[in-house]
Amino acid sequence: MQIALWCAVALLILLCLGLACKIILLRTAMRQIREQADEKLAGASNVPIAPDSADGEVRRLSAGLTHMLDEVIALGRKYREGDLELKRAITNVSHDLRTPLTSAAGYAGLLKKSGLSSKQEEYLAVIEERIAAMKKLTDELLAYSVAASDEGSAALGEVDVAAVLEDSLTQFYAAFEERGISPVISIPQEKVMRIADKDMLARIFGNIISNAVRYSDGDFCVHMEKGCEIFFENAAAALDEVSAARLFDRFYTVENGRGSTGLGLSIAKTLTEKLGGSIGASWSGGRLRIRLRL
Amino acid sequence: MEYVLTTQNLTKIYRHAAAVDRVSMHVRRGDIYGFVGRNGAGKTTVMRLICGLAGKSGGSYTLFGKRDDARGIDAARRRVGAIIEAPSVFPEYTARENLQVQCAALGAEEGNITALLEYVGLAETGRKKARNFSLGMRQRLGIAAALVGSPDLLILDEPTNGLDPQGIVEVRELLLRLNREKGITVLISSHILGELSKLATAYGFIEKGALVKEISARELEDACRKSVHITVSETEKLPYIFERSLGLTEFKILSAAEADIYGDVKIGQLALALHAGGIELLRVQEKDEDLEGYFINLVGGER
Amino acid sequence: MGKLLRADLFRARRFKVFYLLLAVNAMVGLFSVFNQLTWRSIEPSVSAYEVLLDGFGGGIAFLGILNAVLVSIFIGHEYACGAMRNKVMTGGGRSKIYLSKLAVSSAMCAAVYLAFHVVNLVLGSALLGWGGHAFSEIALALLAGLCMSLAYCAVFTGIAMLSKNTVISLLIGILGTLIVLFAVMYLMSALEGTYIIADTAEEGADAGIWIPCPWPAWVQSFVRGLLRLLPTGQSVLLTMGGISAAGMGGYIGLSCIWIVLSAVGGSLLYRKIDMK
Repeated sequence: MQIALWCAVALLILLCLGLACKIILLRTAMRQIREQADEKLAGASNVPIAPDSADGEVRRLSAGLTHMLDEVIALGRKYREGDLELKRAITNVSHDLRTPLTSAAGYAGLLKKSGLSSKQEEYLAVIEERIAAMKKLTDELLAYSVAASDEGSAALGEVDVAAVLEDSLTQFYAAFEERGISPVISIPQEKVMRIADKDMLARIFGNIISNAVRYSDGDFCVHMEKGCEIFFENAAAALDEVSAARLFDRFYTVENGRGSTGLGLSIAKTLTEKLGGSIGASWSGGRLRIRLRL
Repeated sequence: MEYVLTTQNLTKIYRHAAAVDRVSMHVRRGDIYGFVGRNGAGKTTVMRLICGLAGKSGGSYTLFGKRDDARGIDAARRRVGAIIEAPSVFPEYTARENLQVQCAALGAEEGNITALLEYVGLAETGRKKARNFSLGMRQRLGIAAALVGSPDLLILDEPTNGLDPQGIVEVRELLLRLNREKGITVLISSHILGELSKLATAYGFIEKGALVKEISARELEDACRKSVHITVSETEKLPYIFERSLGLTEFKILSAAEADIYGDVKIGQLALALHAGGIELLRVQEKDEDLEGYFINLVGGER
Repeated sequence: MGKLLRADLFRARRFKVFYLLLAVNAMVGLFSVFNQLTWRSIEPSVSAYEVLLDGFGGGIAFLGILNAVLVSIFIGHEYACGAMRNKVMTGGGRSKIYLSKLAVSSAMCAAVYLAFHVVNLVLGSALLGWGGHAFSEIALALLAGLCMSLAYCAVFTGIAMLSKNTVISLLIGILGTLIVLFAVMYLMSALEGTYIIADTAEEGADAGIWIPCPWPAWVQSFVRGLLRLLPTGQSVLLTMGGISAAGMGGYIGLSCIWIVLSAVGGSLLYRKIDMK
């Protein structure tokens, strides 16, 4: 009788131990599945999720999860490929457009010299202006595609951001005069050093300032803080909160046909992000505020 | 750009001679990286170091963002499929059994084996033991074994060695398909540049253990294309002059001062035409090479 | 490590040499049973226990040789085919690969060892009986032999994994075992002392002089310890029989030293070597 009792106890203990082991193994497998799923998605990896478990349900779960993640990754890849193809096509087209445009400009120049009636000269002037406009558009398109694609890499170095900003503002001095805008500028005297690409910075500032020059209702403020935050402000009655948020979208222009492609601010945003910074716009009380942080 | 593999001054010294001498290479995600070098230049040794088969003497490498001495390096290795020197095949097993062993070691699903065998063209082998395979079939089995774990990086050491021309084409097609459809990065070594040129998107040239140059396929092509590169005082009127006076249609205006002319150009006529058009010809550079020539120039032409 | 174990077990199941050696050892068991059966007529106290003692390999250390063959071919073949390379390249982890091999090789060696004793347990018990030997005694002896076999396995696994070559590890394994065997025999007889019989022996007179071992005491105990430590030494000692339960326990402990040494030292060394 005693023996039977002891056997029963021993059996029960073994059973408990076995179940405890099973639980521990299952929990380990769950942890492994979670970790591997995270890594798979983060790295867009092809490797299947495979925990150290022989349990049928665990394996089915892993297989199912792997399949789902593979689909997500494939979709991502397809999108990126399509995007890349588009950007490459734009780059190629803009590159290829340069040659015939230069050709056309050259011939137009020759035509000018070959003695024309005043009417013909008038028409020619228009043609030359249009060619110049197309050239500018092509250059902007090319700049955008280079900026947006990964092939335009930054030449990084220590740059005094304040100095670059000052330079950019100086370049637009004539444009400000023409529009009758007196910019209010407050930039710290000391150097504000950052690791950045000087040309990219110049381009970013240039695009933002030229945008302000073109669209401001009459004033323009630049304020830079030492923590490398720059605020560009101007009066803009034509905007509202919604359109302010969309300013940096590709091809978005508030008023079409003023000769802008809508790419200027988009380029600025792409380049800023490439340098590891952030840019945003807000609108309140009739004033537009662009904030740039590096 | 995401780098799948980078090495930083990786070095391996065998008996006082550096088999791998401070190699710093960069393999981008999605590349087919052609590792070119003569026999004994160190290609296989570099691959062995990266795969963890041999210990390094100096430097380091980073695989999928994990350094070689980090804890996560084994997890990173899991994403690699490789064939070093010869495919690893058990001669006494059938093709399917060979893949089953590999599946078990990696924890991969055996259900994919049939599809994989079809993918590499070994579906009809049935119960044939691997010792009865031809060399081409064994290579393909090796590639299948490397693919079993659904890798993100394939490291192939001269995979077309000993294959007949048809086999070479089949392997090439397979690799291109894998790269395109599954986004698998490929690091492939060879001493035959002509073969790689149809496949690679980036090149690394290695000689006497040192990485001499790294270049993208496009740059290589541009470097080898027969062309004349001219520097002039201004490029505005160039197209007119090229088209009218010289009958050239294949050219590219690079900037306000430089242009490339492709194809055969008679330099004398070019200079005269430019002078007549009032453009100063500042510099002329001729380029004409095939890939082998490029490589030989690179490594100094010693034989 | 579970995945590596699964892969190694896949190979072990299909490993023809393993089945061959199982059969060989079972045959040896069979012969031993019938051998002892013929001894019955001369020595009626012979039982299945004597068969059990035979199973330790005895005078030719055949367990050692069997294990050497099994482990060398199992591991060496994987090196030759390049499959070991595959495991390293895909991040199996050097230590885990080593330990997995150790585990599976041990399982196979244990199975080969038990093949003999299963035959004995079935046939020997039936034909010879156990002649008064207690169950605990038999169980302990079996266990001691098992640990010895696993100690052999551990040593040969280390040799095979580090030499990376079937032929080399076979040679080292087999020759090594035989050489150690001769050394063991020599040492044992030296320890016993020599028995000189005088030339001028008269009939019936016991004119032999027994000269004990001339070595100093500490050397003698050192050598005795060495004999117990070496698996080959153990196999000879066990075959001779007459070892107490405490002694058996000691043997088991010493065998475990080899297993731990191989698991820890071998796997650490394995991390450092370069592979082809």
